[in-house]
Amino acid sequence: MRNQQPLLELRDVWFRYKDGEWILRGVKESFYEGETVLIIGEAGSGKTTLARAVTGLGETLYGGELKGEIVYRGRDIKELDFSELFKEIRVVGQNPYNYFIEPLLREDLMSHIRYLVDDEKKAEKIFNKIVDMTRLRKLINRYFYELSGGEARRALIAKALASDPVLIIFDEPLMWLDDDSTKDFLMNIVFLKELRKTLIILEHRFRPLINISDRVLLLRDGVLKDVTSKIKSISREKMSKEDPVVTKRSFDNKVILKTIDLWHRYDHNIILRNINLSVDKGDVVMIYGPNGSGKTTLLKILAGYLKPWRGRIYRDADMMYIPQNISLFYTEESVKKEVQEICRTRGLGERCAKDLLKKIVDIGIDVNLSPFDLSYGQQVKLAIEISRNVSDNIMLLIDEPFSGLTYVDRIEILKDLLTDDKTKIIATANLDIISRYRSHTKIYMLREGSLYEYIHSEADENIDLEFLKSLYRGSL
Amino acid sequence: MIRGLSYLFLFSDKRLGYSVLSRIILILSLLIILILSRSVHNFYIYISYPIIILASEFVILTIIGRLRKVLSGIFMIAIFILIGIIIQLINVFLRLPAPGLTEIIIGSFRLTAFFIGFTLIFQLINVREWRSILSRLGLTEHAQTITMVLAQIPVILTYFSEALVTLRLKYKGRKIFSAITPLIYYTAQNSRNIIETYIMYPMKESRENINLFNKKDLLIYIYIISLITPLTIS
Repeated sequence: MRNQQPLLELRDVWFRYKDGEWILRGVKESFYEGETVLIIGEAGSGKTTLARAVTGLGETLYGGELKGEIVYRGRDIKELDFSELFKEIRVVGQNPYNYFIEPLLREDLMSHIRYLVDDEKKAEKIFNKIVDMTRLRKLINRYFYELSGGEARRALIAKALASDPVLIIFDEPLMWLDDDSTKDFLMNIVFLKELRKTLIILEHRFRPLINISDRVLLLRDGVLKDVTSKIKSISREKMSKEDPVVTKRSFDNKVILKTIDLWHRYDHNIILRNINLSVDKGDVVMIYGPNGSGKTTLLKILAGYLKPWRGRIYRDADMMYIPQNISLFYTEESVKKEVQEICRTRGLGERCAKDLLKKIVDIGIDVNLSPFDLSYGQQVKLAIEISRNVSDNIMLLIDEPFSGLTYVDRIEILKDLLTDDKTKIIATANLDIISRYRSHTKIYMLREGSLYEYIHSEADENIDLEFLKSLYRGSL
Repeated sequence: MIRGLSYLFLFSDKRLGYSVLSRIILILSLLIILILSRSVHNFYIYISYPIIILASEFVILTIIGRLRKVLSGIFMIAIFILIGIIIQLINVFLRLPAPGLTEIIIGSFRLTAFFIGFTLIFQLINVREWRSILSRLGLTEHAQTITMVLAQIPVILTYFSEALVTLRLKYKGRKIFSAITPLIYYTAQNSRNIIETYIMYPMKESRENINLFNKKDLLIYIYIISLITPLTIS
């Protein structure tokens, strides 16, 4: 592979957004045709920026400054126009729902294919080919926003394949994917490898991708470093250990939430079937299930926002809902105002705001910043910190808090959630880090509308936190 | 409820066999007749037309398979109308200046019919047809913007629903209006991502055939004439 000319070459690439610090600081790397390269790095390390720099959108659309050279097939990308470049290089971005222009999936794909080829018959042929290749046939008559995260990602891969690209860049492809969809995505990657596509995958949650990647690069301090051998040496035995957590929970077994024969339907589809759930004060309950299994609906019913179709709910707690799209939790221009406002509306007085602000400073968040300017992980931490301190009898209903976080952030947030005495129900589509704390949580599985107690499997993925911390810090 | 609301702005994919022109004329006629029926000095037309037009809209929604979804979406609008009726009734009770009960009820029907009629623009004319019409008028870029806006409405409404649940619990039922803040943030943040999509995955200018007449259109025109005739007589 190394005897050939690189397909894409980054020659001392520096990039920064307007008036900002340099995010990429002299990236030197070559990517060869047919190889799969996994690029890992902490949140904010510049992975998305790297994709924007490579495609030229960083300068054109985001007004950034680029130094150095990005050479594609021996030509500087600045010499290529976008229509030429984006037929060969495709980006499958973080939020797949942003990549659809027509509401109906079939029309969206066809509109784009018609742009690529003029002949209607050829367009139909390409459409049928990519739909079959990505197993989308059953979904093509659906609106894109009705698709689950995994389905939307698959549809976007189909769209990317329409131009038969040479290089595909995936920006956090596993975000929002449940464990089944992750396997599905891995199958897609294997398939793309068979087609000899060059793949660059930028991902936090990289464990499932290690074995299918030819090389693993770490993006840290604005440069890429090869960590293939280190990453591939993570020991399986070391990872399956349980991690002890000291909890403040008092085991008084007081039931504060109970559902009796709960059913829910939307239109004529049954979403939840006969859900019987009992939650004691201080419990940490995990609702594990694939995308579209009804986890969010269940949380909204428990929160009292949706009325169940049938069944009863008994609640004896102050409910708080933390959504998956975490920015929807915030309404004020600064963290400080956010805290003052929640204390005021709940009639908790100035003392509440003062104590809470101190706790927020202790977790390393600048209270003068806008909550919208915090990183995703910090926004999750802040929402949890605020929620658990505004009532003694709070029950946190948290929807997918871990997607979009690095393993280190995931474990830190989960450990933090396990240490206090507040009751939590957490909906998640991934078991990866949860098994590590299985004795501290009650895990249920929601599948096809029914809730089952989850039986742990030794095959569940687990992570060596210390190893990852050292890797990110570069001390390995 | 909010998800249902999003369907009010989405094209129904049911092929009806009517031309684009007749569909546009139907929607515009319903809206214009609704407005005119208010200024006609005929009590029977004044009270019957909003009901007839609302009933016609329900028939159209049933044909395109949207009635259930629209009714669930319209529920939120109905709440506001109900609040308006209650305020007016309180005014009547307190002997403050207020319209009569018939006018209040008919006004509510008129408002609902007008709102549904307006949303039919989005439900009966698909985005490709809009793109094609605007492109032929030389407004290609506007056509793309309209497509993008229509496609993003359901996503924004879903987030609005999420924000409502979150903030209702967070602020104990107060400050619900602040749900708009995170949505503004979301829209600003995503607008550039969507432009990115346009650059990376462009669309072909719409080739949708804008047909101006089908035999079936006669049904629509006969119906419109039957609605207009009593209006012109009175």
